[in-house]
Amino acid sequence: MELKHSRSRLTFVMIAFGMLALLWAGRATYLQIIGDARLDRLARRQFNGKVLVQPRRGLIIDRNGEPLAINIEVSSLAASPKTLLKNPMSLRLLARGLGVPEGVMRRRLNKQKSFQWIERQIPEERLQQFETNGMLRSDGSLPQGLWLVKEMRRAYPHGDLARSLIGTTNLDAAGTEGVEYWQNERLRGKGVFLDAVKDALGRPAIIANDDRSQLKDGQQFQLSIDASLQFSVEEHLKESMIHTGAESVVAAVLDAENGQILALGQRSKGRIPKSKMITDSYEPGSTMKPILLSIALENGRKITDGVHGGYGKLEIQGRVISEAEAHERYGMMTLAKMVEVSSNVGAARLALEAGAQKVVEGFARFGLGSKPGTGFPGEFGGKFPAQKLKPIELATLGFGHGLSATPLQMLRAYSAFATGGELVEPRLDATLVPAKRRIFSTKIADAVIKALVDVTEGKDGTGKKARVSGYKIAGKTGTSQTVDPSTKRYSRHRYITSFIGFPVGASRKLVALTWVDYPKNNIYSAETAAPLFAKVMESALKRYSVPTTEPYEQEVVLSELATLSPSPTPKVEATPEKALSLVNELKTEADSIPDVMGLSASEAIQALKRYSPNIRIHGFGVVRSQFPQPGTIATRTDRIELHLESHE
Amino acid sequence: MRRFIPSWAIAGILILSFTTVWLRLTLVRSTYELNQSTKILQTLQLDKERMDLKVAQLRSPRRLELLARTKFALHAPAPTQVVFLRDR
Repeated sequence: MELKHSRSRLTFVMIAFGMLALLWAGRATYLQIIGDARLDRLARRQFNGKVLVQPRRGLIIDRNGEPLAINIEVSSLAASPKTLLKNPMSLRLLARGLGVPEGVMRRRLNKQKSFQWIERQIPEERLQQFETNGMLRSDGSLPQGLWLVKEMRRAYPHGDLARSLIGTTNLDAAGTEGVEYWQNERLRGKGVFLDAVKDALGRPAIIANDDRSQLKDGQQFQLSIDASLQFSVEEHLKESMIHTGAESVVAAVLDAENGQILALGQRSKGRIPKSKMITDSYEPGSTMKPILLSIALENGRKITDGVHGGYGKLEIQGRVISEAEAHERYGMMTLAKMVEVSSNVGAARLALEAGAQKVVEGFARFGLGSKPGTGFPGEFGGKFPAQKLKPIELATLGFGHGLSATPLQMLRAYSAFATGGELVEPRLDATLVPAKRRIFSTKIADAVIKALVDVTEGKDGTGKKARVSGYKIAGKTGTSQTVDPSTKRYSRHRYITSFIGFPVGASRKLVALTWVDYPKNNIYSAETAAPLFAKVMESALKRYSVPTTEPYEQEVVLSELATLSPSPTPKVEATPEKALSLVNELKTEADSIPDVMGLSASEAIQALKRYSPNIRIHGFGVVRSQFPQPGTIATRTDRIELHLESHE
Repeated sequence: MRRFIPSWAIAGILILSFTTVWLRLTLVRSTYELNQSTKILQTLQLDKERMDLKVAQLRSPRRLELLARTKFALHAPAPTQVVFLRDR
């Protein structure tokens, strides 16, 4: 009986476990073979994902292939606030790493989020700081809840060279200013989402490469500028800022043969602004006189024809037009002389004689009133007068008032003189070759050039300081008043000075423009823009090894030699001390200031103290610019200013 | 007793099973290797970009000018010291 009971219990337990096993097997079969959509979804969410593969942003290079803007990989610190707040040790390490109190860090974290950026695009020094503070371990790992994300960031290997032109990008590598913004579509490329299988930590481990071929890196953009020349120009601009006390200075060099802008520099007080050369306009002033002259010559006048200077005064409609200086009283003068001495009265008369229609049409032919067409953001076409003008308006138009133009428009206009009558469109893209169009004959160009040469070489020329030894320079000074925004009238204190010119007969048709806004030390172009032009043009001519066309000027040679080592000896081994000893050994004139560029502050003071007790040092590092310039005769009461900058 | 499954079928099933597993493992291994190679390529590309940056910084006109003036005590040549050579 008992045995029978035991057997039945055993059978019952066997059946029960058998049924359980069947249930499990059935469930396993269902899950493995038939599947459950909800569980399937949960699983895919856990180990499948998409990875965004960012394209590489295209490089910006100069005309010789020198990289101006490239990409580097940087780390950004991300956190999971939910994990961090559950992990006090991690939070403490994070706060210590960032150097903020723990309470502040806690408040910064968004409790609702599982992902939050802590710091984007962290420089190497800061990462080292994290390591020193204990947040980042030596093996590169971080406390729980923190991780480093690799991102691409823009780097500018030449520092602030041409920065107003190149522009900047934001944290998401999108261009926000300058070329970065202008060419953003070309530079940014096209990213692609790839399917990925994640590992246990949620990191993409296996990435499907099927769609990788759709990834398009950004295209490169080649700027027309020459980095070496750009550097020289910017150095000259720095010196000019100090020398003139200006608000801003701008300079550009254009190759008139192909319209390529070889250098475009600017220096301003305060923040680096957008490119003034292209976006800001001004009244060109006397730099319009050669353009007016070419219009007059086209209308049948000759360069030797006369125009009366009114002995310094011309009254029109109750207003008096006078010369820049009260002592300038010209009678009858040739048209060439009118340009040489920059007579306002002569220009006014010439404009009145030509008539509004011819003057306005003539200006338009030179590209004034129309954008140069570089495509650069903010490019401005200036303000152009209507054809119906009152006599006083026409008269002032003759000497460049009553219209506005950007420096680039003026540079373009003068390219027509350099090329013998063909206007070329300026370009910032080195791969573009714009068309040229003839706007006047070679004969007229030659006549105007003759007048422009008189500006720099004539007895009464206003642009003598624009001369470059070894070359014949044709150019024109311009000094124009600017409007005071508070009074809406011309300011008596604020001027813009400019000089535009080019070497005559040189193998390379380089045109340069210099522009000085609100110079405080001297309001005349002859003392501000003209000397700057000379330095800029000299740099450009040397850079492209343009052979000289004239014998060197003796006086220039002497003053240059006075500041140089008298006999350079290539075999002498140079050491930093050598720089100081060379300065001390220079056989200069008794009171002529030596060149201390590149020396440290103490070395420079040592070299200069016998010339003046009043030496002012600005900044740290080595001397980058000095005022007065080397070779200047100094008295004991003159103040010497040195501007220092540290090494990179 | 009769066999339900002939021995050649058993052998076939075994071969197919091993082949399936081997193929699967090979696929997974190859995918890992491909991903590794992609990562190595990316690392090398980044290294190249870092080197490019370094080279560009070393060639910077500002740096070269500073070196020329301070370390080598060079000056800009006077106009008469520049000789232009013409191509013949």
